[in-house]
Amino acid sequence: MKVNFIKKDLVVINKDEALRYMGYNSKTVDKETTKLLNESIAELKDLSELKYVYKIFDIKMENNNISFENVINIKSNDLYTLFKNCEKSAVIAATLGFEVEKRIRYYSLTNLSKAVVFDACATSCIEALCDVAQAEIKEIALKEGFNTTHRYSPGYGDVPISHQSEILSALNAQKLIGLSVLDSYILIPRKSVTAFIGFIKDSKIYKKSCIDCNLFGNCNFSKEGDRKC
Amino acid sequence: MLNKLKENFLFFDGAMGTMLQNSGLKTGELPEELNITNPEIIYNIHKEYLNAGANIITTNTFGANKLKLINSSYTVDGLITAGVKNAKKATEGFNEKYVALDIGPIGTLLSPLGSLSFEEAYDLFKEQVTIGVNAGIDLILIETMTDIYELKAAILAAKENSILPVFATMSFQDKGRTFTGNDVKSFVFTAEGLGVDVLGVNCSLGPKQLQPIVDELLKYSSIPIMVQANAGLPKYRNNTAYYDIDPSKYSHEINIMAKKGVAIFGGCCGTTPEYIKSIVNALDGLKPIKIVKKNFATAASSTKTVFLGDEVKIIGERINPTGKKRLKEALRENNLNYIVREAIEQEDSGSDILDINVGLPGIDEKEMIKKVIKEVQSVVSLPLQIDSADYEVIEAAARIYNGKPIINSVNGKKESMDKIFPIAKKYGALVVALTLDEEGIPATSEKRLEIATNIIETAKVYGIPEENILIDPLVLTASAEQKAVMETLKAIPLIKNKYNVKIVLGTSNVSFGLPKRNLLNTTFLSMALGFGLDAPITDSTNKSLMDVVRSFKVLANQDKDSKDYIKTYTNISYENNIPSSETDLKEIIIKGLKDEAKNVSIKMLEQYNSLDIVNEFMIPALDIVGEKYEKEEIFLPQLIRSAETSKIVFEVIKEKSINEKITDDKKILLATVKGDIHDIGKNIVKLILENYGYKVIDLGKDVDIENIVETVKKENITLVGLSALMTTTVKNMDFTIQELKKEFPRLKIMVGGAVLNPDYALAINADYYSKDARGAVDIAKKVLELKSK
Repeated sequence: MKVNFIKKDLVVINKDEALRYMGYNSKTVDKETTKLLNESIAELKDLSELKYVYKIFDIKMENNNISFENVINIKSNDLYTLFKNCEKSAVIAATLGFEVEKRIRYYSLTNLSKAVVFDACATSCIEALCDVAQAEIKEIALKEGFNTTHRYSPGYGDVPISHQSEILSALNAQKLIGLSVLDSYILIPRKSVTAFIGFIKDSKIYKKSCIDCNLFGNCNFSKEGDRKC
Repeated sequence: MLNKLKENFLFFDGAMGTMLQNSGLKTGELPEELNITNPEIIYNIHKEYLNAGANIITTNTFGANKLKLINSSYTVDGLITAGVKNAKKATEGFNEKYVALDIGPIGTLLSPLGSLSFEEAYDLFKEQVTIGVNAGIDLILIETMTDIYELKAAILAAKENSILPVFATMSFQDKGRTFTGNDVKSFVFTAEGLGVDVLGVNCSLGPKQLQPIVDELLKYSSIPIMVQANAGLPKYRNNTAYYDIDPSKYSHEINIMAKKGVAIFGGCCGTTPEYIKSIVNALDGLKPIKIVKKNFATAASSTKTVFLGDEVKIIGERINPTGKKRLKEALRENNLNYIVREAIEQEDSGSDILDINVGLPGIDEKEMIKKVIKEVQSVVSLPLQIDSADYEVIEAAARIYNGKPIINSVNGKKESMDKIFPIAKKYGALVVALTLDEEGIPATSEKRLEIATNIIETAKVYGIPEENILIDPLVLTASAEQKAVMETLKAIPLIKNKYNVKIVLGTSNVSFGLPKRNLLNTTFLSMALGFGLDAPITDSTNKSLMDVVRSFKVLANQDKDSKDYIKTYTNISYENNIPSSETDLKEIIIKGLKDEAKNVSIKMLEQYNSLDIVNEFMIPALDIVGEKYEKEEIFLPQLIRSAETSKIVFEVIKEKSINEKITDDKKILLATVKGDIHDIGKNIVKLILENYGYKVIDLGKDVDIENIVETVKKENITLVGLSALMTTTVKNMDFTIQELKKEFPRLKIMVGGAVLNPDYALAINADYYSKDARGAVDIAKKVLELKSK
């Protein structure tokens, strides 16, 4: 198990990604939105407390059931397929912290245009934080002679979102990084992610495909012909 | 035991979890179940700690609450009773050893951050306390808390259901705040106010890193401090964590803490009996330092503490419906967002504390003040002053308030003191005390002092220290009682010379009935400050009043190096920004020029009537914006900006033509369903609907089904909009629709949110699905226009 508090310089918010979350396509962005975007990124840098915790489990797979040392047990075709040749899996929880959550609530009441931009930037920021964590995990995997799969979160495909609480308690995430979950399985702070990353005995690089996504068939990016997300 | 504390250090045990892990417990297993499945192992750990020198051992019941045990085959009663039994058995044969009932966090967050209500949290803790007391514990340890609100629920549960000593500790990160942003000061003043016997810090850091936090605890606390540090910081080896300092380094730091004034020690993560033994030895021959009472006058939220007396503090008065039409309307319509925005505006303009008064005939004041306090505290960090004439309302509000509140008010009448002081004592609140009694408001300053004296001395009988009393010597209006104005001011130094109390004063009454009120108000405010007023209850959005306060702070040597003054007044010109009047209102809306909108619309009102502005400028502009959005010439942030701009125009028009009917009463109810806390999308829909003249009743997020049903009935609603963003909360949308359709078969319901689509909307029996806010407007037109025909 490892807990990390990340220096903010390591995490770079991808502006294009944030703009895509707001529905912008390749067309030019207006001046005012650009200003809000830059402000939001600066505020996120100031407010966010970038934290993640992960633990690497041995996994056992049987009849679409994936057992993480019997601490987490998941029934899922999709994860089973992704993890087909995996022997281990990292389980990760990451968050931007409560101050970001509070600021989103604040803007939602006081300045909606800012709220939309800030929210998109925060989403982009948590993804970037997960990328940092994933890179660290990948290094561990490579050292042990494994490659890694892409991240797979509860709520993707047929992995029930109800596993959030099990994951948080397996990682002691409430105590270590202040992350908890509501009855409706919404993570609090909201700009947080839990995910599995498989350790695979295979040199092939695993790219994330749209089929793995919970928005498959209902995704704005693919509707617009932009395959990236 | 508490008496022993005055003479000697007390030692708790070290970690339970570490010991269990060392003996092979896996992550994910519930350690509390071992109380029944393997009592021997628990008993042995207790015994080891007792042998190491611990006076107090904590039961293995950290997570034994109903919520965490939801998937366990054991009950809370079973596990706590067995846990206490194991601990008590271990103390057999020892002298003066005590058993503490261990209570940790519930494991989910309280509303408004999360969704567990304060009352539900209280009930969970109450169950633990009651079982522990029946099983024979000696004290209650509430530990590792990261949310003051949850801590408060636990303390109340402990104090109301036992007479045992209560110890409370929180976990802070290295910046001196918990994960939810709570700071040390707010913890100290809130917990002390609630009457805990000992407070302190545990977990999250090693003893060395805890030193600055310990310093702060000691600086502000008037009760004993306890520390249970981790065995250093976690390091990682082979996928497992270990802690980086040994018992001798650990006890070295503890020794430093003892010399500073900490009196109670124990261990947290990574500590073992060797650590306890080492600290017991390290403190051999030392005695605890005597605690000095601190006498600070403070009010606190969970994240901010305000000290009264050091410098002038503003108590914002705007959330009070007296004489405020818009606020009255907002209260009647349950429009909490309006009230929260009022709170934010006051915070941004320089208020330090906010007065909250929601008393209005025809509304349930008790329920309303609870709702308002929760909502305001979810976004505003300032401490609040609970203002009501009804003591039941005050008690209900003080109970659910997060932090240490101010109560407004008590007065010199016996009945008032009998009712208010027990509440103030129980919740540790400051109290505003009005110098009036059975004979009314006295004419002289001397008589005001007399009443103040009676109030302060009576408060002491209730155990309320004088620093918790804020005297309000009551301003009378200069137009009616000119002579009395100076009497009020003269009372200030009279009272302050006799007692360590602070003075508050509502300053704007003085000018009532005279012209140019602001001039009198500012002059009176500066006089009162000169006489020693500590906290005016006033309007911080009024610039000239704030000018007086800021300049006073410079002259009274409160604003050091005039920092705040220079920051506020450099480069600010006093003329209003004169807008480019050529700019067309239509263009302003299309381009979303929020800053220009207000002045231009004021100017437009000189030439046009309200309806023409709406119909010939606003609506056409919004239609153009909508088209551009459809064609992807502009995107969501721009669409919203235009809508916000248009709303500003609307507000101006409404204000100017308060008696003119510019909208018909086409009402729409909006809510984010139970369990879901996403509201940006719903707020966008609301904004756009309002732009088109609909009156939106917004019930907010995480809304109970009953609340929606009741409001539909009360407000005679014909169209409801529901939002849900999660697959898990869509089922609550389904339930909500079922209930609504059962009660109101002809009601129309539109739904939206990321996980919905037209098919699903149909499946849950919604009448309409809309993919965005524009769609909602089309639906509203269709449903409500049809109805009016």
